[in-house]
Amino acid sequence: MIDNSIYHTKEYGIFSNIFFKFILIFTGVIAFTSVILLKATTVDQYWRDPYLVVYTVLVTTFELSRVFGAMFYNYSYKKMLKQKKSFDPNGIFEPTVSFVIPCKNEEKSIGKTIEKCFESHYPKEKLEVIVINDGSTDKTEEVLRQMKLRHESLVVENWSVNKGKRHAMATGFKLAKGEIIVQLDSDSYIVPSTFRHLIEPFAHPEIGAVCAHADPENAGKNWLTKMQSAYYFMSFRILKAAESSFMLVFCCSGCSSAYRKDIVLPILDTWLGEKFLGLPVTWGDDRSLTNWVLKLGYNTVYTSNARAYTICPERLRQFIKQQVRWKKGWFVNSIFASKFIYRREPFIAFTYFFPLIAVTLITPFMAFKAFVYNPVFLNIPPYLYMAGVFLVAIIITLYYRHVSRRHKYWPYVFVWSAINMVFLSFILFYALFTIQNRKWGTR
Amino acid sequence: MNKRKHLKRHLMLIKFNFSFTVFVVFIIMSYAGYVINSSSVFAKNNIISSIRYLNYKSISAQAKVNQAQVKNEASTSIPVLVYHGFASKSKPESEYSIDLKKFEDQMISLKKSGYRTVTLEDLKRFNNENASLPEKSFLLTFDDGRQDMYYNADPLLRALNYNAVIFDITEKNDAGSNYYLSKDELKRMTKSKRWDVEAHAYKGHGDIEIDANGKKGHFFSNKQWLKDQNRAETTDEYTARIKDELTHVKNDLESTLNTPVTTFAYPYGDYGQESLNFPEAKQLLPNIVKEYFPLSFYQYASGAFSYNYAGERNALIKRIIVDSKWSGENLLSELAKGHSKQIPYSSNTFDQSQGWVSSWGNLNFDNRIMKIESGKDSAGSSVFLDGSKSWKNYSFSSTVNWEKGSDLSVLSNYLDDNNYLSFNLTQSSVRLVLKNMGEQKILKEIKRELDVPKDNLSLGIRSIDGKTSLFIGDKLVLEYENSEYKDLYGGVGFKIWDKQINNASMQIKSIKIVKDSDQNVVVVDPTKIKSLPYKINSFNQDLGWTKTWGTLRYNQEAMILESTGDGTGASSYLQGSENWQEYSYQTKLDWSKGSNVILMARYLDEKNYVSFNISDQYLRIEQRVDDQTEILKEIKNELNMPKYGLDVKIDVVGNKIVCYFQNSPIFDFIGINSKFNKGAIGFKIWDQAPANAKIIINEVLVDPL
Repeated sequence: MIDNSIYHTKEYGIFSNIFFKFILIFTGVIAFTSVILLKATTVDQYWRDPYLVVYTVLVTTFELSRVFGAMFYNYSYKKMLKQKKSFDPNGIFEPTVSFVIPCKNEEKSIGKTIEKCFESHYPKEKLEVIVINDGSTDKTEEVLRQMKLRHESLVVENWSVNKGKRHAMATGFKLAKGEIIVQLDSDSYIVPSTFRHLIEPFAHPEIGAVCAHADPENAGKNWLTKMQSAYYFMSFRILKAAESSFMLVFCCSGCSSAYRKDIVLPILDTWLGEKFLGLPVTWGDDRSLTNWVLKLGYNTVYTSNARAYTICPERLRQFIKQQVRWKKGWFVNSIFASKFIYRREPFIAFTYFFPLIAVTLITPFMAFKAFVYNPVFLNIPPYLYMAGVFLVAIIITLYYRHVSRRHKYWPYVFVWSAINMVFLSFILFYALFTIQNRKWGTR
Repeated sequence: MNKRKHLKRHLMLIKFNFSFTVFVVFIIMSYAGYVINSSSVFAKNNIISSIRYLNYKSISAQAKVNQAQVKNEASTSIPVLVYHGFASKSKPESEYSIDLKKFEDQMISLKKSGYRTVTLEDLKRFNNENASLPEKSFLLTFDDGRQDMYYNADPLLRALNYNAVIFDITEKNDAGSNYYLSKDELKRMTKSKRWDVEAHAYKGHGDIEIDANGKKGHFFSNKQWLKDQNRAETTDEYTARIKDELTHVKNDLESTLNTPVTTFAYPYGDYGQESLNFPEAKQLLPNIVKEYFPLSFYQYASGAFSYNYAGERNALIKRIIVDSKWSGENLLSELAKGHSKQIPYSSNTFDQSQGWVSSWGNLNFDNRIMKIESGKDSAGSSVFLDGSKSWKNYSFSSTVNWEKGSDLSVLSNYLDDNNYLSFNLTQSSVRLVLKNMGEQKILKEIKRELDVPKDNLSLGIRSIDGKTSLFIGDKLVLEYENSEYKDLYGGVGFKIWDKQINNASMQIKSIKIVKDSDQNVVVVDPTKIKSLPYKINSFNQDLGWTKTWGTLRYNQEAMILESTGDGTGASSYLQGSENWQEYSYQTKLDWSKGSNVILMARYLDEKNYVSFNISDQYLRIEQRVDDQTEILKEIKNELNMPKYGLDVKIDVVGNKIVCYFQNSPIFDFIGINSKFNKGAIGFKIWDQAPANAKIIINEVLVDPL
């Protein structure tokens, strides 16, 4: 059974839903018309600045294409599940699963994470939980010892010195006996009742990794976590879903993803020894692992049916550090993926992968032009630019609302857009300047 | 092993659907952008224009034409207005960019006061064939073909049902320009029938190098400096260059619009008069232009009549540059100055608004007296009356003070500074001078030492069917007749001159122009202007009481007004009280005979006045407008009417009139016609039977209010 409860809107009456959809469509038409009008004002400048006009039309198309991509997600996913039946006609696919949880100084949350793993709706004899204590200096080891008492099958590997997340993961992967490895962050867990959905796609032999839908558990804490909650939802249910429509998810998120062990094991040492500009890479391990899966010719999917919770940074400083780390990971792995992706999937490479890189790199310059150069030197206010960003945010939000009417932090999409517009897009450059700093640096 | 063979087909379908969707969105976005910026109905500018039009439509529906201000007469002259474009945030208000709000005010004011636009065809016929145009016609033109001009002006003109001409610079009609109109837009303008697209320039709307030092001058009026040959172009080369330019602009427009283009506006209004290195351009250039464009336009420079007159067959049409600072009110009064004036025309007070135009020297108005004087660099000064150009066969008399200068001239049949007839007065001679195409010709001269007063000098010139008479005071001093000059026409003016620089000045105190050749030239004597309060109880013929009907005589210090002979009534007014405005007019009189005694106030002439009409049966407040009497208020006369010692009074304040009898108010009325804002006092009597009306006036007392 597919548990779609958060996406279904069953608690609203049918007329309420019809009215709601009507409002969405109506607003959508207005927003799209506004986008067209806005583009028209730039097309107006075509003869003065043709590159800018082509750029803005292409960027808007690209941004909207993510929403359209996401619209195909369900269709694509169901098709894949249907195809799966030819490999597993009786629905008896039930592989052994190993959870691998690297942790360091997680005495508060590790217990709950382990508990949730064992609660998974799955035959106990087919589950295995491996925790790598990567040189914790707090009471983590103590907590693990107690957990071991409760769950005999728990495998604990205690390291006295910190070796890093990658090493911990690699060790866990090697220890794992299951056919499928579920990699969890120490502060994340998968909702036990949705666990099967994470394993289900592996019945299809061409699926190499599956990414669960993650939401921050501490979403309601403050505006920052609310905004991240909106961002998580958007980046999973829209951006990853759009990638998943083509069965090419580029990042099976580190907090809650599953891998087929026999694919991962052979490349584990190469992955472990990965270097960038001569130094070991300490971030983007999840991206990197997913890329390996893709490189080896397998497909990766995102499933909205398996749901995970994680903890997101509650303070700005942590949040920025995390963003910097993610940008670095994105950058290094984009270089890695660009070496093979155009051969493996030219369509995706040229409609999504390379355009994304281009847009991400150009956006900060455009934002700089709109907010600093134009107002100061040309006396052109940045209203049009802001309106463009805002309208795209509206269209994304409308789709967001369409997918989940219940998700209540949707207004924060605009907060995210605003912050992204004036600040976050520039973080990429900070990340690139400090790319030789390989410290982990969040917790 | 191809590991992806199962998902591959499935993904193909998704990729196809996805690509199709995104492609459609991309096309919609690009195409919609293109459509919105193109010149179709859905174009942004057009949508905005339509909204503005609806808005203006509702405004102009309220702003009804004030019918009272429209006379259904034919117009003998027409003003042509020129604008360029509109101010916006990026274009500050300037000579060439008017604020839209101002323009709205100007156009709506024109509409309200009954002005209507004519088409270029109308103007051509008016100019060539003396075809008549309705009163208050004007032609609206816009130079340069700017987008802001079209999109701002069009909705308003459409709402007001006005049309206009644009003079376009064809070099600029690129689709990509967002300053100048494109060919598509020009086509749409022509199609709307509201706009007539005509020629301004191809690339000639600018400067060229005119000498070796790189000095710049207008393209059309100067010889170009040929750098490579180190010489200025020859006249032939100049002609060829101009012809090439004119051919280009004509062909451009005709091929774009598919309609003949026959008029042209000189860039900067320079038809050669501003040439820096080729003075002959002034004659040559208009002749070249005429080959391509029979009618051309330039900007009106001061010192000439501002309107264009019917049947003049001018190749050059004058245009009034509308000042960006003018309000609608300002524009109306500017147009009023140049508006054709009607004979009879008289004035004993002078001010800016009447349309006196200085063509030389200085002109100023002081205490309602007009004064012209030579300036620091001029030997003389001259002035003419705008709007008088079409006058023909009239008597022109004036009272002037000859202050300084050897030659004083009264001008009639004035067309411009090179064409007029002049009554020229010096200490030793009286001359009748004709200036024709700049050539001065003395038609007749009488040499004699003149013994005339320098102050309040009364001069008259009458020129009717080639017969010209000159008067000093009432005395005919010179007569000349030549049928060659019987077609002369033109306005009036004055000129003062001395051979010494800055030593000429004269004052003009009153003028009167009348049509009737037989009527005596009567000039309002400024010395007779009365001031308030005015009190008289001892009457004689020198006081300025003037009879207009019946008989006025004096007996034992009383004034007697009576009908005589076949006349059924009599009337008289007080000369010199014409400019009284708000006053209380009281009189004591004996009513000897007649059915009606009428006290007139704000008397303009026999056909226009306000009155208190007393008869045995009724009492009335009346106004007489253009010979039509209108009863404003009437009550039955229940008063005890003494025949002797009647004391009657009228107060006129603003548009209110109050009537008193024996010092008690009888009735009043508010809302007398606005034309009665000033006027003289007078009496009128009437009876059915001839020679049966008579009153004896013992006292008149007028106090200011």
